[in-house]
Amino acid sequence: MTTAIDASTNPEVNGTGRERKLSTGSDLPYRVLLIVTAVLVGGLFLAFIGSIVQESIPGWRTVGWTFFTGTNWNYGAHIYGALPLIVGTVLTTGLALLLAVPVGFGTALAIVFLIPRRFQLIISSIVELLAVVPSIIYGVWGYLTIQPWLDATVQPWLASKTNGHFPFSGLGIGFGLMLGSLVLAVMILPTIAAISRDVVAAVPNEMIEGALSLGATKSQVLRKVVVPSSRSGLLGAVTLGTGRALGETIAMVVLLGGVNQTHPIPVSLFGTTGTLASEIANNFGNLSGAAGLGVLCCLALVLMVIIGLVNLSARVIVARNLRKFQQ
Amino acid sequence: MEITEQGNEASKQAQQAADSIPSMVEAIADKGPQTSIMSLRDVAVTFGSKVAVRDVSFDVGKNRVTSMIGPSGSGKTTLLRALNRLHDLTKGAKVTGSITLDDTDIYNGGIPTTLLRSRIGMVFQRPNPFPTMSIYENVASGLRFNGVKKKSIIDDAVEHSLKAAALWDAVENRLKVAGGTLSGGEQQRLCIARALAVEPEILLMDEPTSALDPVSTQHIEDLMSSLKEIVTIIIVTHNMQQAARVSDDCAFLLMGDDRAGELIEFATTEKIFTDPSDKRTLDYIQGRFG
Amino acid sequence: MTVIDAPRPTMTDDERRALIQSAARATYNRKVWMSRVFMVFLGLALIIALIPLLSIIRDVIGNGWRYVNWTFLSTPQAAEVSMFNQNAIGGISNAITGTLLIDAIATLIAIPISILMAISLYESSGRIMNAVRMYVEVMIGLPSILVGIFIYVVVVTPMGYRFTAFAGALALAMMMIPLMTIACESALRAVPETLTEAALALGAKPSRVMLRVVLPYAVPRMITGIMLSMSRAVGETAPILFIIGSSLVNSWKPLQPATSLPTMMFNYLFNSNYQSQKDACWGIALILIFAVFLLNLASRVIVARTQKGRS
Ligand SMILES: Nc1ncnc2c1ncn2[C@@H]1O[C@H](COP(=O)(O)OP(=O)(O)OP(=O)(O)O)[C@@H](O)[C@H]1O
Ligand SMILES: [Mg+2]
Repeated sequence: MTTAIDASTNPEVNGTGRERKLSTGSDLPYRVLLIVTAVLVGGLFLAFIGSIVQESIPGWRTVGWTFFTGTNWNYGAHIYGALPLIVGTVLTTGLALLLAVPVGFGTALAIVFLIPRRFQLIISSIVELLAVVPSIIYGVWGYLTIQPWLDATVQPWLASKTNGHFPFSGLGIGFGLMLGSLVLAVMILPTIAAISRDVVAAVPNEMIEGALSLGATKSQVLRKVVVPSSRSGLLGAVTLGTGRALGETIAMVVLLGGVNQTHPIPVSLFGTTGTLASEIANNFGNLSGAAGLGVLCCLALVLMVIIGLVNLSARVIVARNLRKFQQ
Repeated sequence: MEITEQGNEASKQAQQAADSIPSMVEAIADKGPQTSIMSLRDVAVTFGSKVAVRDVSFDVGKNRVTSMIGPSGSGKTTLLRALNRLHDLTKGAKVTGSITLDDTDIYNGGIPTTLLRSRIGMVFQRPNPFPTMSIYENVASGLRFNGVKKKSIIDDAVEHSLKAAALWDAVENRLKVAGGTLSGGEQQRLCIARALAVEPEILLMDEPTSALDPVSTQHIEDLMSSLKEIVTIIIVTHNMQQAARVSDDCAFLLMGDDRAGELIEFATTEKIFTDPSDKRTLDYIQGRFG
Repeated sequence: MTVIDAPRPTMTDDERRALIQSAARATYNRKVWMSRVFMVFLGLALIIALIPLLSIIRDVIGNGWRYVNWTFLSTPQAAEVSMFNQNAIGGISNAITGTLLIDAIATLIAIPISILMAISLYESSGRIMNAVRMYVEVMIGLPSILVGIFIYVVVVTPMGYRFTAFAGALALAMMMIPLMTIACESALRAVPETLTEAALALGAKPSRVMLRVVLPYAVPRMITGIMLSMSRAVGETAPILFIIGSSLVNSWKPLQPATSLPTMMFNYLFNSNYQSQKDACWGIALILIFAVFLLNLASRVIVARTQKGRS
């Protein structure tokens, strides 16, 4: 779809297309201007990360190791065990991916290879529009449409079917892990589907005809040729979706419930919970405690590291794939 | 697929005509009796309202190489793709007339498309090995698509078809390497091996050497004469010398006044190139058409 | 691969063909059945995806359309909602003003920086610049709330904890710069090399080639990228929520607090006790989606136009 969305997964941008040096010609002012820009922008981004690291230092002094081992988080009461938030972040994102990835890939393949051509444009347009809809709107929809439905219909039904056993224990109030993951899944679904659609549509027709000419069925073509040859791009789609889910703030604030409460490690899909990002936003408005800002910056730093690790592993996997086929 | 009344009539007549020619004449002309494996009768391919090619009737001799020549746009590729039903996927494409494989109509004779395509292989203009598969997996892919699971059979078929494609010696020690790492000519031979592994009866080749250098082209031309022991070949080529060198029979297509391709002449290659019966064939052979 | 050592059945060509073709026939039914099942799954995935997506569109339009009227758009929000007249929530003009102000300043800051940055990525190669490019790409993926923290620390705090529209604009500009940079760089790279090489071969300075050849060609695509980045920023809530404060009147002053559409939505939804304000979120959502949609549509039209002109 758009440069804005798939920029980070677009191989051309990373390519080694042209090899021109800044040093061509006697074009000093131009050179200087460009170098200064690069240094300033690079510096700005370094300062960005640096300032969050710096602000977190008083936080680390306060929380120490209990930050990673403590199983309770209550900012207002100055209880800083971030483990429940880390678990909450990983759980909401994991559940959302579990729902959104298969559905997103399936949607992408269906749009390109299943539905009649005249519907392709309209359905891809819907998907692409929803990929750029701001997340606060998903929050509104989750809050005003889905929460009442979960509260009144889905959760009582699930509770009665399972007798309140894991993972549906406790009192369902609509808000919580279930609502958050569900809306998060819907939120990243268009992103995953839109990028995957572009990726599978770019598989050369020659490959598809090559497989067909060997007697492959349509599903064999898709499973054995189309999907394998687009796996880097599909991985990029998932990585982007993961990043969005991990960092989603506002929708999580309004959907996960339990604001200003103690967050234990979630054990039920009905339970309220918090994520790293949502707790930062929840408490930013009323900083409290000796290291009030510092502790939130610690959360920010952990979030940054998690997202960094996800991106890094995606890059490593892609690079390994490439190497494997360029021996 | 629609067979018109006239189409049926014409095909019967053509059949009778073919039958009535004493086989002796054929034998003399061609040094040996020939059985036909595929026959085309009044075949036409249309895309929407555009007729791409029409009026094509000829028989493809078993274990022979049949070439199709003609200027660009005369419908060679279109016709070739009709022979293994690759147009099925193109919206608005329609094939009329009759194409039979061993006397069974391939469009409405009840042969499932995937089984048909495993009997009629295709090699494309540009080498198209599957990029994520190793050399071994590329050759094995057709077998796997067709439900062959036993490793010993697959191993054997991979070796056999790589040998048949004259590629075995070059890749024997690197079967696990990606197919895309081979040179262009090697990739094309890999695609030939991949097609051969399914043991097709007919191999369709669409300008298989047009993307290759002269040496690789030579390799593939040499290959074809040995391949026809095991498979019938139909090749589209722009290169008239190539058609003359490799093929036994030759079909010449040309656009009519309305830009639709037509079969002008079908005969043994020798006859087409030495004594064509149509003036237009002669002109084309002598380079008087673009 | 143990092909050579494998027990090799000695088969004639005909036997081999018979073997493989019979295998193909034997598995045909299963294969076709599997294919159908797989395609059914794809269809199901599409339906499962469309249900919530269409539900969002339906809810936003269905519940939001009645808010789209001149009074709602042109009056600021009610300073206080009375218990006894809960529907008198006023309009959203203060938030529209704030959004326009913040986004305009942010775009004005981001455009020149992004274009220069894109040019410098385009004009250079080598390890350092590749690292810089990767760095810019990573910035796209970082959560926006972090940008909010950064601006809070380096702008809001030094100004004596003053919440301003300008601080919000800086945060949004920072969100836009990486997106715009990458988009503009790919616009530059889409310029055919034949155009630039000829000029460079004649000895033209790179800066002249950039100004006279590359930029004019790349401008439409750059505008597209800029508009898409703007459409991203319009709805951003997290980075500005705690740095712009709020304003109940239409304020065009950058150094005063402001309310924007997303922050108003957040406050109505989350901090209000009145159902009337929560419901008004649908109206604001519709207007926001409409803005995003327009920006995307316009960018597409530009792409289509230029492609038509060039092919
Ligand atoms: N999918 C299609 N839709 C519409 N028209 C088509 C399609 N495929 C081919 N044609 C038309 O059919 C005619 C024959 O094309 P074809 O590719 O078969 O020619 P060709 O003889 O193979 O030419 P070349 O030697 O250049 O490969 C052309 O006019 C072409 O435009
Ligand atoms: Mg052709």
